[in-house]
Amino acid sequence: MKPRPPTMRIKKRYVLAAIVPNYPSIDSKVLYVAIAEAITGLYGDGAGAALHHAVVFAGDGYLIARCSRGSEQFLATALAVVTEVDGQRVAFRTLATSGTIHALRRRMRQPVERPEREDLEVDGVIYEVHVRESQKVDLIEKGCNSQKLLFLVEQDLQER
Amino acid sequence: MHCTDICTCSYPAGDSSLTRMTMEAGALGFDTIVLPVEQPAVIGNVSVLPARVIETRHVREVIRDLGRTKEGQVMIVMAGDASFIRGVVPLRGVHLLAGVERQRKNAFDHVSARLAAEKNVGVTIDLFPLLYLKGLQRQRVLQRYADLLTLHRRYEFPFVIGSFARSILDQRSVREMTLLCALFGMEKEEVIRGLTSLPGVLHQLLPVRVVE
Repeated sequence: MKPRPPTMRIKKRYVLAAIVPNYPSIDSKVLYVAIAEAITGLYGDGAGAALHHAVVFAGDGYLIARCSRGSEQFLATALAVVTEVDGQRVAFRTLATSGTIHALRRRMRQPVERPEREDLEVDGVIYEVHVRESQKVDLIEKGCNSQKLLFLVEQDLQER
Repeated sequence: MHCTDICTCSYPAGDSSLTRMTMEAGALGFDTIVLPVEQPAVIGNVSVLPARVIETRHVREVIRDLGRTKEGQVMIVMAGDASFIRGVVPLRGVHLLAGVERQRKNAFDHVSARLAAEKNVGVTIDLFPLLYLKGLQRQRVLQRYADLLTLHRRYEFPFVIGSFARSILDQRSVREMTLLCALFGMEKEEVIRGLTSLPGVLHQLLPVRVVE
């Protein structure tokens, strides 16, 4: 099949967002559904279809979503209202918008490797400890259906 | 530009510690955060202002609670019906009126708007329901905010925008707040004014009195 000439193609924009917390591995398809629901909830089916949105990358705590040019504000608003994906509480922090994926990839920082810490017991619940940059510590409840999250800093752990 | 965010609880009531919420607020473009804590603090470059939230149906109880206020506390009164709002807004020491979107449409009317403007009492725009409500309930909140915006443009009472976050996952950046406020027709300049208006509300200017 002959590809569509460049002038006939839809102009696209890409939006980079950080996924908070960054450890759950979320599938692109699940992310797409969550964003699609947010867009439909805010703007309806008609406007949602005009956005031509898609998730082109998800991993390392980042997400790159695509939309048609001129609708990146709508996509960023929809990303701001997503609070849960596949039963996990998350937040998307929009960082940048660009015309190319390459430009956004340059803005993605590699996650800093931290020495692993032992599991911690808080109020009778055992948490997995994830140490992040700037002394931030994320605690995630251990178990298959873990839901409980705690967001602390090193100082809070020392005070305990 | 000194942007202020309002949050409602930190660890152990919420899932994020005070330090973590303050750090997150700094990363999201705020330099002051209001939290129901006992003492003011500065963490990194972000100032923490202590707040007290009064939630009652009786004006008498609000007056009693205002008497127990510590200096430097931001007094936030949760809105009730029309008579409650009209009774509370003129009280000295009330800084912010929150939760107007939870009340009936006529609870905050043009009389309350004029009173709020005269007494320099801020009316809060809580972004939390926009994130967590869906469908008809979110539409109702958006309608209330659009109504408030109309009154604000007419009577010019202070607007204070806040995420009212209970966790770092509920906190939003200045840019995201601008986008969310655009949902009910707020302009970017109005959002910036709403994020920077708290110092003006806290330092209420009293009428000039001639002392002989």
